[in-house]
Amino acid sequence: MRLTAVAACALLVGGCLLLPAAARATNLIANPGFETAGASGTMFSDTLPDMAAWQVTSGNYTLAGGSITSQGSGSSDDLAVVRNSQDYQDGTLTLTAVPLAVAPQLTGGAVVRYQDANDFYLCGLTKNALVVQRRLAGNDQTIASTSYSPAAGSSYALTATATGTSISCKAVGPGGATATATATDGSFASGMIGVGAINSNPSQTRQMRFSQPVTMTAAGPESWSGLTVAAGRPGMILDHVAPANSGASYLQLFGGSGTFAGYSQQASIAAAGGSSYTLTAAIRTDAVSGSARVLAIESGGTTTTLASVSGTTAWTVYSTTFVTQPGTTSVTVRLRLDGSGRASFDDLALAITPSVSLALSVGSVDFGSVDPLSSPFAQALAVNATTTSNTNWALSVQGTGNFADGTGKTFPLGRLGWRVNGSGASFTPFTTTAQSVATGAANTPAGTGTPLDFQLQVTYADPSSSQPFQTTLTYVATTP
Amino acid sequence: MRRLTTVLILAAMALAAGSSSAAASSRPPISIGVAPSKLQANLVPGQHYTTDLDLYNKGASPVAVDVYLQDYSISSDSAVVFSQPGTLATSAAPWSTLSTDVLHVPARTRREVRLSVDVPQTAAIGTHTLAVVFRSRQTNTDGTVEYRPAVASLMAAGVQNPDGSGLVLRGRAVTRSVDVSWIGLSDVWHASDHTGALMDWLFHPTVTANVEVQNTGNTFFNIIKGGTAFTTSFAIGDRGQLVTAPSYTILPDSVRTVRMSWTGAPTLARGSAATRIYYNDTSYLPVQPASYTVIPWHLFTVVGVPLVLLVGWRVVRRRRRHRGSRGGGRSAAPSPWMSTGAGG
Repeated sequence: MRLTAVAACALLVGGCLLLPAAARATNLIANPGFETAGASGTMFSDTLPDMAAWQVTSGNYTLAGGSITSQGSGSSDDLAVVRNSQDYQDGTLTLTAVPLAVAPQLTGGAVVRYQDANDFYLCGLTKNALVVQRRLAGNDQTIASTSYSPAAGSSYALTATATGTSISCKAVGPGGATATATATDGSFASGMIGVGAINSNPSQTRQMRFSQPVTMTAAGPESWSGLTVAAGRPGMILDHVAPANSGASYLQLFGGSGTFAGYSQQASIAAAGGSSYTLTAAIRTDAVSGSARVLAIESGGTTTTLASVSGTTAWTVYSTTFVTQPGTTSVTVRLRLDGSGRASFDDLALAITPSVSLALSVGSVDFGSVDPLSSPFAQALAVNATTTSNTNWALSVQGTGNFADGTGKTFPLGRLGWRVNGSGASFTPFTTTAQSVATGAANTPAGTGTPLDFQLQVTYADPSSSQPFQTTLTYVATTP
Repeated sequence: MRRLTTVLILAAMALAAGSSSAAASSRPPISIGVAPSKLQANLVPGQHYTTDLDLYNKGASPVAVDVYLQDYSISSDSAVVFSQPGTLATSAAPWSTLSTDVLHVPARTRREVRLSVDVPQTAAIGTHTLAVVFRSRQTNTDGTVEYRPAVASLMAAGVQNPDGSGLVLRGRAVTRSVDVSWIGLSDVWHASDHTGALMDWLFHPTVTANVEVQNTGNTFFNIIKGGTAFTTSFAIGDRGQLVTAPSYTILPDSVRTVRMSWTGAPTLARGSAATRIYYNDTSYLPVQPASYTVIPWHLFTVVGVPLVLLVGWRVVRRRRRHRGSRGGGRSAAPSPWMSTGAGG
């Protein structure tokens, strides 16, 4: 946000009160920095039509009918994780596990906080127990266990929940037989989600099957929608792992395949038609094969794309300005990833772009024949200056110099005075310094007309010339 | 006398050139606009910053527009005062360049100008400003006074240390006065709705809180929301109203008078005006509430003077009647409503 936001700094009020704050324009997006967590929702779900979302990191799995089955070779690990899901911290992974064999040497189930094949937690079924197992530097250790009697060929709903340093495992088997084991461990704070089957018997093949759906639920950002899947099985994370662009959190979308697409959005942000808006976002990408985009979709369907970022890029602030269609009543801001890789979004902002325009009813005024005897000469409605702005505006006027005839003869600009038509005020002499003519509040699209009367006073002391005297007035509209 | 005649003739010749009567030019109106009209950024020494500005020609004719940099300051009454670039100590103009200095913009189209700012390594920490002015080049040589419309984009850049420190946001706000005003009789006279205007003149004053917002820090801030809550402890008419504050940018070392007006305030009231000036979503400058009293003196005058006249007239009439009944023949003329008792 360095380029677009005012610094977060402290306000000293009356010399006694410090308030950390950032002064900025009104942001129409709620929870723009993803600092506030909202309700839990589905962040990833896979019905296992294929293994495109997965990465087998050890052993092997075979796919059939919405299930994957570990290879189960003697003394081997079969590990598969959801590709690019490494920033998950807290959340609940659910899946259905079917042990095809039950033995003390076989432990299989849900994997959370997977760092690599030597470091992860496993919520698993084994003979006569439900366990929470930690593999740290390649060494497995059961850190929580509870009695349970899984049967070969039966289905068990496994739920692995990671919350801070608490790793909890729950199994619900045939007839509702339920067991829970909870461990407290701080070895891994984040990591991928997946499945694992560890067979430590070197002489026998022991397999475990995992059935769809494999679902990860976790807290999403407040005010933002949950993950909407456009294609494939992408995922979403309210991310606290890598440094954010600002603050502590950001939103990350990830995909395991180039054909995947998904988004999160904030819909129905009230907006006015025919108005200029500025959309800003910080985007970071990691090996994005397609594009990471921020879209502003107007209620009528017109879409503005803020950026289309691919490859690997550091946090970069993007900003664009667009004018809404006349019939637009709201805007949806959508964060979208197409393809594989990870796209991170932070510091969204949608704000009305301050704009101002000025229309003068005429290009000049001609006083015609004047003489000192008949002076002063009034010119009612000499000009009507219409200022249009979507914020508070100011109209000022200043002269460029004295009246001059082009031959070196001049008389003072101050001979010409102005007042707002109908005000009944006395005429104010023009000067070469800007004078405030009018100020006003936002008035798009109609604008505000400021009709001005002029009065020209010539005296006997003023020079005469055969050439016309002229001067120029500049009207300036601003948004101060 | 001969000299005077000569002066008069020459003056008439001079100012009548091209036209024999005072008139506004009939050239098509010029309408130009700029977006964004306000640029705000935080930069660090050594940083390169670029942004695009759109200049719109909303008129039906092409225009040529000069584009140039100026320094600017803003007066307390929100007048933007321009000065030559680089003349203010806080000017960012010396670091800035424009991609062009003239734009030819066809009717109802827009053109883009790129502003580049290269913050020097030696730039002082604090807010630096510059204005990008777009001034119509179109001229009309047959008028005495030629108009050139212009719009400007005002930039405020906070230069901070690379670690984000250095900028201090500090300010205060004070309610200088709460004024009660009524429209004038001339406004009633000139109004299209005389009855409505007369009612306003009689019963509906405007109560205005004049709040001075001062930036005593070294970085700008925006008034992004807030306003004045007018409340009453006693009122004949509306009981209160919240009036939104204008969304001004307050530059360092500047004071801005922000006026919040409650139109259609009660005819007779006593109350207070409490103002909050928010510089972000949740933080505001505290302002001590100020009290006000609405007394419709002119209404008292309008009702009271005829009443006094009526009472006075009745008193005089009664006295005259008493005198007439006591003094008989001293009446100058007989009243048609009473008998002198002298007839016959």
